[in-house]
Amino acid sequence: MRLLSFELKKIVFSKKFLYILLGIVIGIGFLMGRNVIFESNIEKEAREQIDELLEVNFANAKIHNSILEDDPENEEQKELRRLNSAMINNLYETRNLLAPNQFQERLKLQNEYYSTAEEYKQKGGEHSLTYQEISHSLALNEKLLESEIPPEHETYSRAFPNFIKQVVDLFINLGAILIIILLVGEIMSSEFENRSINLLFTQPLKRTHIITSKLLSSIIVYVLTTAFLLAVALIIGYVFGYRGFFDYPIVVEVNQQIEFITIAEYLLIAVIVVSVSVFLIITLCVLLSLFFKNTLATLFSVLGILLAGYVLISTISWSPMAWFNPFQYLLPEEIILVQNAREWWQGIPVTLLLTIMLYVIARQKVRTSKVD
Amino acid sequence: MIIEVSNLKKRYKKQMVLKGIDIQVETPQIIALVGPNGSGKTTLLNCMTNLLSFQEGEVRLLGKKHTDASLFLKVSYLQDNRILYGNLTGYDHMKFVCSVQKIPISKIKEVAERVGMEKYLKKRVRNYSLGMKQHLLLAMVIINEPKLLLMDEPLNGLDPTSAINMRKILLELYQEGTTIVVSSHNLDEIDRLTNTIYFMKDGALLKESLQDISSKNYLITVNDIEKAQKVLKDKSIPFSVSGEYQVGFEETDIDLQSFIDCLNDNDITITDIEVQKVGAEKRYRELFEEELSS
Repeated sequence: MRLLSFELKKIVFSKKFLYILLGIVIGIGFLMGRNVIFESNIEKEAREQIDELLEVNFANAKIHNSILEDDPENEEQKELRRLNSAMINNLYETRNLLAPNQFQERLKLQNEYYSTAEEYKQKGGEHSLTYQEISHSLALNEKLLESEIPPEHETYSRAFPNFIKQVVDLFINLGAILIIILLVGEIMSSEFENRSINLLFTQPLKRTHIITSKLLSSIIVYVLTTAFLLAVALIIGYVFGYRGFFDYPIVVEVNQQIEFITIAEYLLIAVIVVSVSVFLIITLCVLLSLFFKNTLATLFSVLGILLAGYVLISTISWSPMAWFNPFQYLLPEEIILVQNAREWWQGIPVTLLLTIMLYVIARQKVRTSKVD
Repeated sequence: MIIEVSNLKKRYKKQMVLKGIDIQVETPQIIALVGPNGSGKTTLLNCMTNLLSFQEGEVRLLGKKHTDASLFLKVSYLQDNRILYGNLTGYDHMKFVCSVQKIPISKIKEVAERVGMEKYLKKRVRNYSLGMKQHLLLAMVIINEPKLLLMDEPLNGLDPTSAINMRKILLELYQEGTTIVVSSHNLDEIDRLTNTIYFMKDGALLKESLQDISSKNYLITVNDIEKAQKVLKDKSIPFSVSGEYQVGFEETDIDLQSFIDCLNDNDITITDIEVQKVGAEKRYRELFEEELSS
């Protein structure tokens, strides 16, 4: 405890920590600013999407008409033309229902469109939408209708929960790794570089306590930083956003079936898995610092190991590998959204086990560690 | 035994940097470690405190093996100021030492006043001058009232007032029973601090230096310098002449009483006796003549 509070002070009272907190505030503020600016484009973007689909359907109509001119009795083409015309009419109707308060009518029309597009494809028609896109959109719209939740734009939404999800998505996709490496990547190596480790090594302290304190203080600083990030996202989202729904559905694919989790569940899972990954990275940084005693060498080695581990293991398609892959949470979004033949939590035991093993090795290594 | 270093040998790659050092200290004393840069002084202190590994030999401090961290409850090591954390205050450093040494926090103020750093105790170390950092380092190593105090260049960056204050504190600690080992380049300060000087040269502790090397120079002011010169020449006593009325001699050549008697017997009046210590520098010049001439 005595050493832990000293270690915490060293990080928390550093300029670097202040700059990182400032960077978080600026980054989240920038994100909200972007959403405010692009909000007016959401309707325009929806209109453009409809126009793109119309173009596809018009092109298909030309093809059907041309074939039917040559072969007027072609029943298959007649049916495809009928479906295509229905889609065109549907799109024209949808164009007039883009106001936010008309979301239920719009979602119903969109679902009719997707169902028709699916039937059209099944009957041999060509369409730019894939079956997966169709089924995901259909399921999401049905869920939104059932829950009476208006749909939100995935990227520019100002709805409070959806905005937090945008922030958390950035955080879990390399943001957390970047922050933790900047913040505590040199927690041990800089002690050797600055010779300040001599102060710790010439106190009546067990050296293993130094390692434990370094790890615990890093974890506490990570927790504080994450809490700060979430608090800033909450405050900015609350002040500049609007209410929204924490039970807004997120589509996940589980064993080829479409299921839903709420935004609240998504946020919880995302923070859990990225934290597990961060614990591994912190321990790796501390251990490699004891070997290299140099910040650059340590950081390059950590990044090299993480990159090599992630790339190598992701080439293995054997599904039980989820139990043995400690690198899967480096980019965890995919792990949460697609759970085919695996579940999101399966990598947690191996990642924690590896973290504990690295910690034990670091404890052994520091016992004989010297400053030369 | 306070310090027990036996046959300590250390190599960096193929170069021997400590060549079988032996030190035994049984009673409290102040020991100066003197030698040119690269002679192995800091390496020796770092090996003694388990900061550096060594290939051969054994180190025991206050009867405990040097790898036993608990010995730092009564052994302190004043090191380079790079060990300090710029973003923390002097108080933070002291508080940390107090907490790991299990010393009441209330002692911080007392020690800060003793070393003269109470005014800037709560400033961040990055704003400290070199001398202020030395004060903090000193405060950190004496707060636990050590039985053995190892110091690597403690006088670096100290102004004359601070140097005098540090010397006073070290002498007080010594009187309280602390053994102090000081590595320093400041030979004048060492002369004022101790007679026990261990010279280090190329990783070896020079055996002949282990004896007490103190000797004294006397400057005697007389009423008749010419007569005094004649008498001393006649008696074949080595002497030097300083100014118009002073003759000088070294204690190693003749003791003071015999010299006085010699002059008095010849009706020469002595009006003043000035004592000058001949210590570290003279010995250093003898031992490191080669380095000095090159």
